Amino acid sequence: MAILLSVTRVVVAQEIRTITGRVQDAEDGSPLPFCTVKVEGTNAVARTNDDGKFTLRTPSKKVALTFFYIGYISQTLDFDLKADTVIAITLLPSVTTLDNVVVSDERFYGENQIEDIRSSTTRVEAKDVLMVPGLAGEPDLIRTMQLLPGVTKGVEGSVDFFVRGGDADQNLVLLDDAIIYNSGHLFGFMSVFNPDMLGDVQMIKGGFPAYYGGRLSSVIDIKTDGTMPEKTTFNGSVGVISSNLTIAQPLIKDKLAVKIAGRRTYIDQLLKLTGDPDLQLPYYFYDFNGRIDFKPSPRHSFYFSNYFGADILDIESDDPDDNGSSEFDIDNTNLSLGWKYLTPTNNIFSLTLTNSRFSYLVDNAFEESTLAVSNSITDYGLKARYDIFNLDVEKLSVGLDVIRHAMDPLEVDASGIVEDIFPSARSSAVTSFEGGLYADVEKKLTERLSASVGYRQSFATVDGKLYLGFEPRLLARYKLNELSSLKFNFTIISQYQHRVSSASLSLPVDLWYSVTRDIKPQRATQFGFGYVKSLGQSGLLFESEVYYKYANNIIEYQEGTNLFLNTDFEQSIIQGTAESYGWEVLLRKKGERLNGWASYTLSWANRQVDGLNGDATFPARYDRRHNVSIVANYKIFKRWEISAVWEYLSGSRFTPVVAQYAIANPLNTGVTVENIYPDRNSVALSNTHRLDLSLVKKSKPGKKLYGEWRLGVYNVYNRAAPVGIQIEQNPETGLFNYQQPGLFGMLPFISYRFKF
Amino acid sequence: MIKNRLKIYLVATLAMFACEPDPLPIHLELPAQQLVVSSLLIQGQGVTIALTRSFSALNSGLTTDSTLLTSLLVQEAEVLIIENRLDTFRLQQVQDGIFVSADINPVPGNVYGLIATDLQTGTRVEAESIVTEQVQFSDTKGTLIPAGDDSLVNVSYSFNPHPDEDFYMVNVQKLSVDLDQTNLGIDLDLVVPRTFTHLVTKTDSGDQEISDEFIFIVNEDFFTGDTLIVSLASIGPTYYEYLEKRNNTRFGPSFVSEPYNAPSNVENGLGFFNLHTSDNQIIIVE
Repeated sequence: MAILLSVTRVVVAQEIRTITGRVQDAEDGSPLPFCTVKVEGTNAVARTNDDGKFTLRTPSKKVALTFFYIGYISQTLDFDLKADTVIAITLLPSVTTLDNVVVSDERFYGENQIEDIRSSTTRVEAKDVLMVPGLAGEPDLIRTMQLLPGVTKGVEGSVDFFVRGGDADQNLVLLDDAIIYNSGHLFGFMSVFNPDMLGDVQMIKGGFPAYYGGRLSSVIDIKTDGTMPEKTTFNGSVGVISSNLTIAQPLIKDKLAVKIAGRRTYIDQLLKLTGDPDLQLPYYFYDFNGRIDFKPSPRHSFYFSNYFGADILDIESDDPDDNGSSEFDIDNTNLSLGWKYLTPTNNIFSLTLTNSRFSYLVDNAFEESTLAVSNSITDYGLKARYDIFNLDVEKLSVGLDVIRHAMDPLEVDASGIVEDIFPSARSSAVTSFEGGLYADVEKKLTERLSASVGYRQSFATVDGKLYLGFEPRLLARYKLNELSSLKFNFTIISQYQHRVSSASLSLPVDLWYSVTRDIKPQRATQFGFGYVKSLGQSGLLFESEVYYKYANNIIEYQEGTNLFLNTDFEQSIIQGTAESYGWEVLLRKKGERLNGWASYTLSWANRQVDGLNGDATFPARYDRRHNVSIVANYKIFKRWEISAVWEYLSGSRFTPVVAQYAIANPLNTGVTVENIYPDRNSVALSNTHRLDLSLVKKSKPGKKLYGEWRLGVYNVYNRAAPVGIQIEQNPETGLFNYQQPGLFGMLPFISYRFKF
Repeated sequence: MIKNRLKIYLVATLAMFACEPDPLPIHLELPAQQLVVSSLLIQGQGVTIALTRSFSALNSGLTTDSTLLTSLLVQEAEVLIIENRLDTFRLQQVQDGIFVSADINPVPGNVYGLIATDLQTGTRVEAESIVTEQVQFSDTKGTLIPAGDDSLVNVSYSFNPHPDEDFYMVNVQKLSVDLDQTNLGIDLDLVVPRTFTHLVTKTDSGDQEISDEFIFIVNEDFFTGDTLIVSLASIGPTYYEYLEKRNNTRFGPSFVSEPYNAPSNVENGLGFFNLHTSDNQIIIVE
């Protein structure tokens, strides 16, 4: 049993002594967050944080510490506590030691969730992402999250997602604390997150701790993997769409390491090899992740993380006379520099500097004319946080964060004849500051009741105008018994940035815009009541939550607004209210052979905006009533696994043309045909369902090169997931009828993953 | 090279097995037909009202032709115009859907009410319009801009706005010459006429002369010496709002436009009852 224990005496004896420490995976050294640490024979219990660290205080001099973590062998450690003590412990994954035997040596599955004060929060691990058969076999973090309760997808295959009735721009996506503004490659059908770089990932849909702010609906907090590798390792995959390679390299053992990952599509290169000019796809994307971790001492750790990626479409005209070309370039860059310091009093101070930049350029040329459209947003941010453990509460967190946003929303630059039709213009550049000061205190009130009370004073300044957001936060957990608990959360949150996109479709060329003197911040109030129950040794965990959310100043556009090359879009923005409520259920299963989850969401999402739909309330575009997802991975044999995803979705909402009429044109020389639409979003598209399957064959254990072949099918029974309504003519009868086309049919895939 | 070929075959094989899903059918409740009003005022020649009906999108598949439009004309209706809520004029039906009264001589500033009843269905619509002041061009000019396969014309104009009117429209359309019959006539495509409407408000200029220019895309061969018809009229705010929304959705794919139902000043119906007089000019493109 490989237990690494180091005991360091830090402070000379006190009556109540503090034990601080860190819990890591014995195999790869990764921190184990939310690990339960219990002092046997007492009520002292602690939980590890994102870095696997914990703090406990106890008067006992003889201590038996037990560590519980799902999927790992629990360990109990006995020692004399003569002074404040720092320990480090590693836990072995249970599957490593007992193959093909259900290991249930944890006290019970789900204890973490039952103990945890937080609700509306789901952690997603890289293995969850890899387990899900993705579109074209590409594992995808966002598409995995779309299978969780409370999360609704937009257009099929797209990585846009809508949480608890909110808009796509109400999700705060953080990569190592830096904001990701465009999380999609491949025109939004693949997310920018390389699964091999994922560390701790959590999705928060409500009950936001006070250190999160800025978006109404969710926080996707993605940390890249910061574990110190013991040796040089290579990870990679070759798929239908893209291939990637990740290299982890220790530079100074346990002190300095670097990890880099690159990914690129290659269909353009493959088609080039055919030499057929008619069979070319001048599109590709690539991305790069790099991370350096430096831990000069047990108390200090630094990291530097960098992401950049681009989507490039470069079309050249075949006709040399017209000199035609069209280039479409989307760029995302993120930088983070972080420092964590474990103080002599065993509190944690962290400081992070971030930089995010998102831009796109559409550049067209034809003969003597050019038309370029560009947009960019650049952020510089600072976050400072101090987590204090040595008070009469479980934890006190205080901090501040501030971001400078520089937005160049839309610039149209034309020359030649095109300028006569699309005159060069640009929307006003906006520089704004956004941030918050916060405090969060977590306290165990009674044996069963724990609560966290927080307050965030958010602010935004733009053009001499100061907006303030008063944002109280409350989280509570009441333990019914060892196996179940009730939870409550309450949040008020503000949003100071918005994405300008049409009601029908979000595009990669949507642009971000700040609050202004006229555009007010969006604000939401949300309540949630939850229930968590572990079904003991069966490896099942049941979670259920009801929620209600009310938001005001949500963004919409005046009827008839055209956002195409519209540099004056601000004039078309109107604001209103949104109300959403629902019930979410999640049943998770962790076992030796069968792993996965089943989720169900019943939800409603409505809006009211003066000037839209005759001022009457209307359903949100992705107001899907029922969402069901079943994700399962089953180990058939030692080296063979089968994975399946089945989804059932109520149809999203649409506003089709139902009739037309003709009126005399302004010159009275003919007619103009106008469309008649029904009430906004009043038509529900057909419900849909889809099954994806994949079969995984792993290489024999013990080989230097570990490999996995994945063969699968997306949309096994080839059912359309409607994206809209169109009118088609029946070629036999000549009659017109409405149809709902889908984007992706049955799509087989194959991929190979390797590690050495 | 062999590996590359293998990859191509692999991708091609997978692609062969990929299927496009069949679209799903859907039944939509279609709205009831509505009466649609169009109007024309020619000073000295009275008022013409056109009455048609709206039609289901499934009647046409969103493409329209003159046969469909003709079938929509209201065959039997009573059309009344009431001047200043006092004097009533009954319009004569001259053909299906077209009703005329030469007795009305609208006076700017006066209020005219329209009551039209479809005698086949009993549907009744009402509208009210204030006659706008007529304004006239001071100057117009068209200049051809070479543009490859397309033809662009720079149209410049000037006029003095009326003190009581804030909203104006300048319309332009190509005129064609029938060489065989040497007749000059409007290039009339009833269904999709290539007209362009340039909108003007006098907010910025006050009552001073307005002088501006815009580009008209002819979309076909057009040469120096060819002709355009240009018209100018002062219009009401609701009609201006309608034309502005129509202009906004000229370019770009429809899915980046917000759906909208065109505004109307017709109660219980669609379209516009407008009483404005246009100043029409024919210009020879230089």
